[in-house]
Amino acid sequence: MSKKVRFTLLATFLMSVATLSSAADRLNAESFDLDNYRGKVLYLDFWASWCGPCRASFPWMNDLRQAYGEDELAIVAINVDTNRGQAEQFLDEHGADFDVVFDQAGSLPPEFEVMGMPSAYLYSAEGELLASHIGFRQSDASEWRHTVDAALAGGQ
Amino acid sequence: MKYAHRVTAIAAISVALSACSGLGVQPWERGVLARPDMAPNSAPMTNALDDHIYFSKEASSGGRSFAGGGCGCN
Repeated sequence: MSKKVRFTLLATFLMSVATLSSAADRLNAESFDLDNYRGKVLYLDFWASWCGPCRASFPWMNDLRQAYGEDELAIVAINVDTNRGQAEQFLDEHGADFDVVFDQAGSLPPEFEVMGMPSAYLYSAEGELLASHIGFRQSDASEWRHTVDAALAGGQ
Repeated sequence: MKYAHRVTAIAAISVALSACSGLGVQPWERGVLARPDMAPNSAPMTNALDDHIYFSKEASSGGRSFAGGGCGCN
């Protein structure tokens, strides 16, 4: 095998490993378990493609992902669209650098007593519910960011 | 037989009392309601024209409002 071919193969392998390690998970509702995220702060968000404020929350969550590593903050967005295709299209348009759970049957929202869309819950590393909010307004975004920052600093 | 009647009556009353309390759309089930064609004002141009026609017809009695009329007396 020539040097050039070996180099190309190695580069391809390294690139795919890098892609896999940074890729956010796409899960089904059955495989979602809150306990899997113990040990790090968890930001849990319920969203749908038809929900206007959810659209505004995605850049905010992507910013959060950029600011904190996966080992300290887990971001999980639970999609409740009955049509998965519409959710996938939304993700293609808006991007999500975090885990997404597809719950087409709507089995998870009642467990978390979701009262509106979007709804977000912030859990401590010990699994304790620290804060929650309904809806997403740009005016509240910085306040919410402070809440998440405080949780990560252990100040809450 | 009497017992069966009593059970049936209690069941019927319970169903009647609960009425439609079990119905309703949950926040995460509003995908269809969120569609643009489901909005009460899904055709703004038609609504504006209808409103204009209604107001023109009813102007002498105050259009959509109760206060005042078309006589210019208040």
